[in-house]
Amino acid sequence: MPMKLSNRTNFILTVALVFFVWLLLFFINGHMNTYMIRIVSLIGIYGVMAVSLTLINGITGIFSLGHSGFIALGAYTSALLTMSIHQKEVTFILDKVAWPFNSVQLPFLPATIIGGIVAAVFSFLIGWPSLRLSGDYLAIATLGFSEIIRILALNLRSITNGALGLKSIPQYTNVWWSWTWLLITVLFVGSLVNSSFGRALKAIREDRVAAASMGINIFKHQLLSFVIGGFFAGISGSLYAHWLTTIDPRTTSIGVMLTFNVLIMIVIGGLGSISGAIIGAGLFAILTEWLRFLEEPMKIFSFEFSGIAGLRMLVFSAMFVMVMIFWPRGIMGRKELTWNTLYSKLRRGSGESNE
Amino acid sequence: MLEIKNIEVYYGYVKALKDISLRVEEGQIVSLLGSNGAGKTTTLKTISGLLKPKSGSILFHEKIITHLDSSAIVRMGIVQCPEGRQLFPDLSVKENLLVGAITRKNRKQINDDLNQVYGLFPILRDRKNQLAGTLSGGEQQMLAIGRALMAGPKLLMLDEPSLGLAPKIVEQIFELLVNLNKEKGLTILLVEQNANAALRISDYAYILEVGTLTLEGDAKDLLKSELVQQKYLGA
Ligand SMILES: Nc1ncnc2c1ncn2[C@@H]1O[C@H](COP(=O)(O)OP(=O)(O)O)[C@@H](O)[C@H]1O
Ligand SMILES: [Mg+2]
Repeated sequence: MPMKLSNRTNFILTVALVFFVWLLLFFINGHMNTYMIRIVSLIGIYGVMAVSLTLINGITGIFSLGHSGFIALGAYTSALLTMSIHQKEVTFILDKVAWPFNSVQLPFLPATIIGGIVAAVFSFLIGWPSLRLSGDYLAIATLGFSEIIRILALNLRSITNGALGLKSIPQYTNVWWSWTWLLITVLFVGSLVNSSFGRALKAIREDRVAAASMGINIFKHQLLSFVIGGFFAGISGSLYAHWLTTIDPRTTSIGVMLTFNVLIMIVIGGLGSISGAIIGAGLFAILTEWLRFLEEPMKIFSFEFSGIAGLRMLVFSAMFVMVMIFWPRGIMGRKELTWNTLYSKLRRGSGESNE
Repeated sequence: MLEIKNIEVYYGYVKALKDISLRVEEGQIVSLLGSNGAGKTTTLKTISGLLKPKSGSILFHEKIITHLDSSAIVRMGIVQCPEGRQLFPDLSVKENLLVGAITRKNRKQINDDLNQVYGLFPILRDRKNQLAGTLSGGEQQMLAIGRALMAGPKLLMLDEPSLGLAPKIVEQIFELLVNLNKEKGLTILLVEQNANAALRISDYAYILEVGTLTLEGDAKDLLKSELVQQKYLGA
């Protein structure tokens, strides 16, 4: 038996997997209840968020805490574009909605792409000054910028409707939209990582000085990676807005809490692994939903407890700490789950030596 | 080929190099010797464009390169094999080599060079999918040199390649440097504390002491010189 699978076999297996996942989605969409379908859509959205942050934090080694800012930009931009003109007039009661949003309504796809582009433009503007910093300073700078975006959302009332937020956003996001965008994100980021550009990004993460002495322009590479990550964050924001149907500038909505949640996903999955990011996103979505029962009123030995808000996240954090103790580098570490790793596991399992 | 004219380099307010001038002629092996903290690494980093001199100039093939950034300098053919090897430990051996070729575009040539490096260091071919961080010290040094060769250097600068290696492996690596110089015509600027071994394979050498050049000459003469023998060769 050969040591590795051929490129052709790899390709066929990947196509087969995508086909299988789509069949599964078809089944879920047709036979499961709305609640389940919504969670499956959410996994796809979280997947896009996690893979885009993996590109920035895990692969390029930029410690960014600004992800929610780009998600929010994509969310607001696209929602303002898909809402009907009438709906916007009704929603904006504090200030009238500004041009151009008072006169356009676009379908979901172009609105999402524009959301991604707006987020990418802002990542460029934010990355330009911040990426000259490194480590903790960069983390603080990006966190600060995402807070600024949130505060702007709170105060630019003629664009964002201020603290009231946007309501009655059309519920366009379904399993097809969210998983198709996840597929696109994975294919794009995946092929980027395996290109010479991606190797340069990883080299920067591993050793900046050595990377520079090999002639890699660190600033340019990091900025481009940051902008691409920002684009997909914007896309995920659009999907999220059209899944939630209401967005507002509270930190718990699409503020820093979201950044930390996405960070948790990619740290659980393995910082620097795309497949790990998707595993982390899936686990996060499923566990946080499943743990919801903790916050409902309970009856233990005939004592009635009213639900405790926030208990779910407390338990989740404890679980997160446990994962970090047993898998300090996350489930996948920096490795990818590829057909070749599965193949060599299988061969080892069937007793054939590997070397 | 390379000419440094009166450069001064500072770290903040601290002057690390004082009025350094040196030349490397095409086809030569030139050594830059000196003890710890003398400024050898600083000199190489300045040539690579990773540090900028406060005054003075650096010329490559008669062109001033002082103001260029490191990636432009690598593209001109000045490639550094950094001190302490500085590999990318979580990348595979092959990926490390390909990162070396990052400034080049011609895929076929990159592939040819990859095979050449594997020819020079067969062990790297055997380990090509292994993570660089798991190699032994000697193998890591070979990979660091291989990675530098992948950039297509005209002038290869090595920062203490013998550091921390067994004498036998040092001998092997120095032999390889001589071969690269003789057979491929590669010009080499070799930074070393191991003066004896370095002088033996060099044409010309400079000796650096606390940021100043104190002595220079043909390597053969320096090997015989009593002053050098006493100070650097432990005789
Ligand atoms: N990043 C730095 N910041 C401040 N001083 C430095 C730095 N790097 C080196 N130096 C100082 O510059 C001098 C020369 O260092 P270096 O070039 O590394 O010497 P060598 O390579 O010959 O051992 C030393 O005194 C060292 O302490
Ligand atoms: Mg040094």
